[in-house]
Amino acid sequence: MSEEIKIVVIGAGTGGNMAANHAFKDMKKTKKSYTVTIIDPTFEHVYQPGFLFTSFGAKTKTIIKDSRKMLKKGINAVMDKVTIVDTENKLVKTDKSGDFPYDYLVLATGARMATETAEWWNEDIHEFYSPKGAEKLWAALQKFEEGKVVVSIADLPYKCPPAPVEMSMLLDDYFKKRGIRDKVDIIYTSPLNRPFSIETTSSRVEGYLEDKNIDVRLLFNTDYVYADEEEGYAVESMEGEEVEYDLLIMVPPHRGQQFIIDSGIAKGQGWIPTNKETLEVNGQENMFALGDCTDIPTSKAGSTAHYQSPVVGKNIANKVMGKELALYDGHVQCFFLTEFGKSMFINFNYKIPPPPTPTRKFWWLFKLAFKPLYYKFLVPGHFHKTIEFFNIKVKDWQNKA
Amino acid sequence: MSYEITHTIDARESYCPGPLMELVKTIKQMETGDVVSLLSSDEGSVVDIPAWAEKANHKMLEIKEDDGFRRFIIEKGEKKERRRRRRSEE
Ligand SMILES: Cc1cc2nc3c(=O)[nH]c(=O)nc-3n(C[C@H](O)[C@H](O)[C@H](O)COP(=O)(O)OP(=O)(O)OC[C@H]3O[C@@H](n4cnc5c(N)ncnc54)[C@H](O)[C@@H]3O)c2cc1C
Repeated sequence: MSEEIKIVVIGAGTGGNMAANHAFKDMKKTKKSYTVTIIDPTFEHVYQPGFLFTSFGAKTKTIIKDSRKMLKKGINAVMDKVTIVDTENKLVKTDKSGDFPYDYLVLATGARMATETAEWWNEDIHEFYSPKGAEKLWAALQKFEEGKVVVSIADLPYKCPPAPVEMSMLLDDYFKKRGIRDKVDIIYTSPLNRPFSIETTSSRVEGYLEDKNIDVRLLFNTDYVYADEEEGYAVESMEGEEVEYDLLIMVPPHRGQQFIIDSGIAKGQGWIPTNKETLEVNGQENMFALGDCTDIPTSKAGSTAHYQSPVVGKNIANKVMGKELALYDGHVQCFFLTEFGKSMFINFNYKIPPPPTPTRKFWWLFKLAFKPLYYKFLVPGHFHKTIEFFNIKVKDWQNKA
Repeated sequence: MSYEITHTIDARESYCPGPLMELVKTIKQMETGDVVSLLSSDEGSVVDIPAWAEKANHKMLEIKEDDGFRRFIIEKGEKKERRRRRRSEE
């Protein structure tokens, strides 16, 4: 290992930005000389939970910020695309900026929207997983007067498991406000035999969906979409069922980044094989992964990346100092919108599921307050210790009861 | 019962997205006749997994109790025919 320890982070989304800031801070404890370099093609940090608002008319520019402004002073930001990682020689190769040698590598490359993997995907299918998709959906919703709106999921896994259920419930609210709810059928297809994956939360969600008269089709995993005059307009499931639509909103297929596969770090869909506690990449030396790019069987959520980032920062420093590695306990916290003005809040880890708490105005207000908090404190890593102090811990509510 | 396990999933301590989503994701990438072993510590799996396997035409080979979790062995069945294909063959 060279004199100066080189830490390279790939991707400046939620996980990459936070991990770079933590590593930069935690490495001070090692008393060694080090550099932290973060590489991203655009440094346009998209606050993706905002897509649920831009789909209903909020402006896209309010959810995109330059992430270089959220990096600690001293971190090198390189605006370029990584083309390959040469794991043998510990080199990150970029499109135009040359090669970056590393001693420690952090992968935070997120998930890619891979519509090309569904042979049936067409331009009329709406999605709300990209800035453009959400804007296009908003344009379509305003013109929609009557008929069937279907919210469905193209493939597994997908980020933010509550998002399609939230979308269905917000659509109900939107059409009610326009006074045309009685002319619109809302159908939500769930891959599982309940509307949401976590049973305790799903029991609440079931009631809300029923109250809102949203038609839920269970055990429905999309296999094909018909979209022509002859065959009609319908989604067909692997399980052999069909739903017809006038407006189709799909969670697009997700994949890991191609360069990760090309570098021999992951196979198949490109999810990085990662130790779910230490966050080390399996089979690689001094390499960590966090956020949506891993194969860890937990939610692909910003909150997951947030709680993983201090573990990555600490573990790089711990490895340098020859200390035992810190462990990620699976902590995830999510808002779960049930209408414009009310939200549930789910808080869980690997061992403890969230309690079945109801939807409240309080959590909605917290959700609105969260965006500025996220940009000003969480991503830049300011007042980390204070924020951790106020952090809502996962309580073992089952054993207490 | 004799079978050769071709895929394994350890979905213990996974609430979200949970064992069934992990199973669907994996089975989609398997070939007909391949066998997957899924470990789950979620109580709901005893109902969820066999229900989905039946609906999606897969064979539930075995459910074994272990220490704090269950092992589900499932064989991927023939894919259901799509409507367009069914129609063109009629
Ligand atoms: C509609 C919607 C609602 C959501 N709501 C919530 C919510 O309420 N709560 C929550 O916790 N999460 C939510 N999420 C999920 C959350 O936004 C993501 O899980 C989170 O952004 C993941 O962070 P990440 O760092 O892993 O990936 P990202 O933030 O996506 O960042 C990945 C970065 O990698 C970069 N990258 C990719 N390829 C390369 C390359 N070759 N070279 C260099 N850089 C590269 C990209 O440019 C990008 O900047 C939501 C998501 C959606 C779509």
